[in-house]
Amino acid sequence: MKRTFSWISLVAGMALGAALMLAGLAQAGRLAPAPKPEVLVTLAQTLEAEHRRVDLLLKQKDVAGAIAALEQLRTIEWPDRADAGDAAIVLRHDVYGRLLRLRLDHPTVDPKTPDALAAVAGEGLGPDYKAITTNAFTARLVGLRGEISEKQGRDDAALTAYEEALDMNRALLQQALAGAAP
Amino acid sequence: MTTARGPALSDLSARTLRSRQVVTFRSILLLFAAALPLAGCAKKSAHEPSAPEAATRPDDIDRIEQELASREAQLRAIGIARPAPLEARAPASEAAEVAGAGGGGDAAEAPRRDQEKSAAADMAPTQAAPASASGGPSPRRTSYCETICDLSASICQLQDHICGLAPRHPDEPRYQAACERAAVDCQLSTEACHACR
Repeated sequence: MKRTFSWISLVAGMALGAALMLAGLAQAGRLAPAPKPEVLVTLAQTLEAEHRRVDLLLKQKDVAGAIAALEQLRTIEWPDRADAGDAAIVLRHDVYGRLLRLRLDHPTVDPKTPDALAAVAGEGLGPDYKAITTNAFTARLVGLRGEISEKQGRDDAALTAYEEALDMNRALLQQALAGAAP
Repeated sequence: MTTARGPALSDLSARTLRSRQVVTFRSILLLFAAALPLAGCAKKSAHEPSAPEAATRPDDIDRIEQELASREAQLRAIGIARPAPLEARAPASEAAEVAGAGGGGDAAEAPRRDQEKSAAADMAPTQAAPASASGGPSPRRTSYCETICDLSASICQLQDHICGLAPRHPDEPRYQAACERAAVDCQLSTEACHACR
């Protein structure tokens, strides 16, 4: 009886230890929640093809076609963090950033109001963009939101967005410089 | 991505610069995400010595792993940590070993690491990219410098935006302070870019 009890204690202790370790690693950001990697791979492959198509359209000076292609991507069902991890959010930020860059650079093509562009920026960033690891795509989209705020006449919001994007880029630069050059 | 970066970033048009840097980051991210299944195959093959020789092809696996390690390092340099699909798919014991070891394995199979760790430091010495035949900088150093200079370009663009707002708000210290801070950031990042070249 005593022997059985110690085995149960040992197994319970190991399970608790493993759970605590995983929780600690997750909290430390060392485990990215991506339980469905195939979703991320499929998304990346789809987007790569679409980005190539947009590249081709832009090469042909078809800005309207490129914008339409990127607008089409807005309609897809984007996987969330729980399914595809942070990378899926980053890929979304890339698509929306490219779309908004084109719209800001070509305001006469399928024109949209600043308020409409601000809505697109908010949609692209999503509610959890601050929760993901700092990256160049998110920084760019935040900076674009600043440009849109400026067009809306909201200078305070624009400055806030610019500063946020600047903080991200500064962190990325420090991170890159932290290691010796290869 | 072959555009030569001169000493004056302002010589490049903002649109060209934006397009170039984003294409760099995007290609790295998409390549890495699309290569995840390859990593899985490479890992499996490397861990199954009983597989037929023709199916294993160690040279290919080494090449793929080296490529993945390089892409992973580039991703980390721009702040995109590698997702953890491999750990999620690995057997529980293996996942625990990988997570607990904190990066004891090779670079291609290393778990997601702390952001503080540099891309260069994460590279195993045995996987150092060879210098080019002409004796010039290695591709990895070129990529490193592109990352630094692209980030510098982004910072300086933001400085332009921020300092463009300041004259409209002469009585608001926040705008002036932000402009000054952004100018310092731009200067320092530009120096880092030039030093890398």
